[in-house]
Amino acid sequence: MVKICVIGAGVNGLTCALKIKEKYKDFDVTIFSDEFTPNTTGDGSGGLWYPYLCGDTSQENLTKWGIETYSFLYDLWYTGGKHISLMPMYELYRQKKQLSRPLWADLVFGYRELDMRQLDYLSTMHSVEYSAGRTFTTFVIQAPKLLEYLYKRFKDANGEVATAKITSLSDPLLQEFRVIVNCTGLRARDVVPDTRVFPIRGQIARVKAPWLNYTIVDEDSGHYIIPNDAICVLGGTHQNNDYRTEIDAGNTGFILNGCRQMIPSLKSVEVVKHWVGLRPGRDEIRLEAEERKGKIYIHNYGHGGSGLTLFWGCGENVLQLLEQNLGSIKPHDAKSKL
Amino acid sequence: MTDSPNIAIVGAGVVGLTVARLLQSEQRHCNLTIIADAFKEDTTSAVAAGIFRPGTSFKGSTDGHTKKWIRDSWHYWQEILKSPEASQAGLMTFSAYIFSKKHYSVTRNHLIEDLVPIYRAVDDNELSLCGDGWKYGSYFSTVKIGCDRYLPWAEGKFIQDGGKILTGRVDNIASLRGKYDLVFNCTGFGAKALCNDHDLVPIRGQVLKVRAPWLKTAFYGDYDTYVIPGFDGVATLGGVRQYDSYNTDVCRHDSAAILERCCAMLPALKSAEVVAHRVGLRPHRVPVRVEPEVLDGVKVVHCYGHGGYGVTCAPGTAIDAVSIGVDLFKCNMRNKL
Repeated sequence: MVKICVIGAGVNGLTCALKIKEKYKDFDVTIFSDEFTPNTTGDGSGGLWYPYLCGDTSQENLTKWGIETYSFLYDLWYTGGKHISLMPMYELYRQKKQLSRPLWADLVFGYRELDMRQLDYLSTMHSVEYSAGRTFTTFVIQAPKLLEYLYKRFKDANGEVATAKITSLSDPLLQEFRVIVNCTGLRARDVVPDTRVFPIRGQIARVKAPWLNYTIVDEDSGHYIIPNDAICVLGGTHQNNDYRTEIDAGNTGFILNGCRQMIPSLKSVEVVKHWVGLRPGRDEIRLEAEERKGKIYIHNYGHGGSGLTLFWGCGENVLQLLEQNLGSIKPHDAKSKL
Repeated sequence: MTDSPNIAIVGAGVVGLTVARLLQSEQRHCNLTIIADAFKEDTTSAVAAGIFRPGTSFKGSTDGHTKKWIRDSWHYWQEILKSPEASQAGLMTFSAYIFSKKHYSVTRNHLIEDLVPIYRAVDDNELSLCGDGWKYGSYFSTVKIGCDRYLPWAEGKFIQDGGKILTGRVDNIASLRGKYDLVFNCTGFGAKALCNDHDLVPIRGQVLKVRAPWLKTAFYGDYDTYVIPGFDGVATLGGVRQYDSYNTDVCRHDSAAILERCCAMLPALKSAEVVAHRVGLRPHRVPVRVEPEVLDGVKVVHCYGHGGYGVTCAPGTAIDAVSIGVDLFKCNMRNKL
């Protein structure tokens, strides 16, 4: 019996667990986590598909993992019931800027750099002078609903879930497992340990504005507006090495004032909740297999602000790494140990 | 000759209310009265999805007029969209994909291509957004005016600024003689009887309103099939265009057909809860009638016959109508001296 455990029940942990269990029905797959949806980092995020804050992760990898996720989100959107929205995203700059064309540009729907007329329109609409920008049709996820779906899919495949706080990769709870998929996010800093992992603090406000139908990101001011099917997320902040999870009043003012100036009809909306998430930053995403003391560790952490953009592709990559290493795992391992 | 002219606006749909609001902001010295037998959700305007996308057959008396109406309308809606009251007024912006299986021309719209911020052909991969078989497509960005919000909002402001409302049906223009110095005829379909206008043809439309808060982008399939996001997550699914039909009852066969066509484009709609079925008679006329007339001794400015593009182009025609009315009125004063 091949026993695999996944540490972490965020979007990456759930995805890896379900992909493995669905493909290898005879394997024992257990998720260990002390936090589950709706309390994971991903649960609170805006839910926008857009590869960003991944440090030096290669364009090739971002494209591979991102586009696989984009296609997955397309299927969920098209068939319905998973609270995914399709809408344009506008990424705007106030300073004149030469925009580089990302590798994934041709693989998404409708990627274009904005021309003068479009920039003028957006500038007039949002009372800001925008000098450069791009747009494409993207997906916005209602994160708790997505995580709920992934969780259910894992349980339906007879996956096991256990509440436990794993403090290191040699934690006694991990003893009986031959393969350990490490999706600990920010906690990887202590669990691995890996000092390259650091928090990127993000504060947002959730407001009721169901009539907003596009995502707008002002790269120079740091403001963004991301509507999903239930709520609209106003942001934001990117504070490196900031571990504070309390709401910062100054940040609140910055977010609300800036977003309201961009879209005046937000002035009268009800603020439902303020929230802080610590994005699991790293100079690059760590997605690799490691053999240590007879166990195989597959690391999948450090996704920064792109967890919900890359999860499905990263999960597939984890599956491939597992398969590459399966040769060294014999199905009756447990018996041979006796 | 009174200092404060009495002006009546007959009709409280999107055209009537917009004319009334324009008069209030431009002709502050006038006494304004809206006379109508249907308001808010009982008007034809409220049935419409309200997307700003005039059909290519939309026509004023000249091409110049047509383009000016559309341009003026766009700017009028943009002003409200930019303001803090956008959501109360029912204004929202969104993008739309329009696909066709056979006709490239269906995806083009010479009336708005130069006006809206984005209007482009789709890329090949976008053709497969809504399943197979779509051969041509365009993507554009536009606005929508939800009259379920706009009408109450405009009406509220009208009353707040001193306007009066009379509930009642105007059976003939003659009945208004002596009471009003100027009458704006914004009766839509009602103008057919009121003015004995045989050029006004009802084009019956039916829609479903469904709960689909996830829908943030509009989709058109070959013109007949459309899925348009709405406020509060209630989308409009359409439609039909039945020429010369006077049937205001919901037809269950039309509903079934609309639902089937829309779900074929977007299977995600299959599980959407239907919240309402609505029917409206589009007051179609070629050209849209915006002109003055002295009828039974009453100075009238007609502003009706917008067909399926009333919500879209009400402001542009209203601006024109108000300007005609002012001229008509000045003419009157000169004659009296």
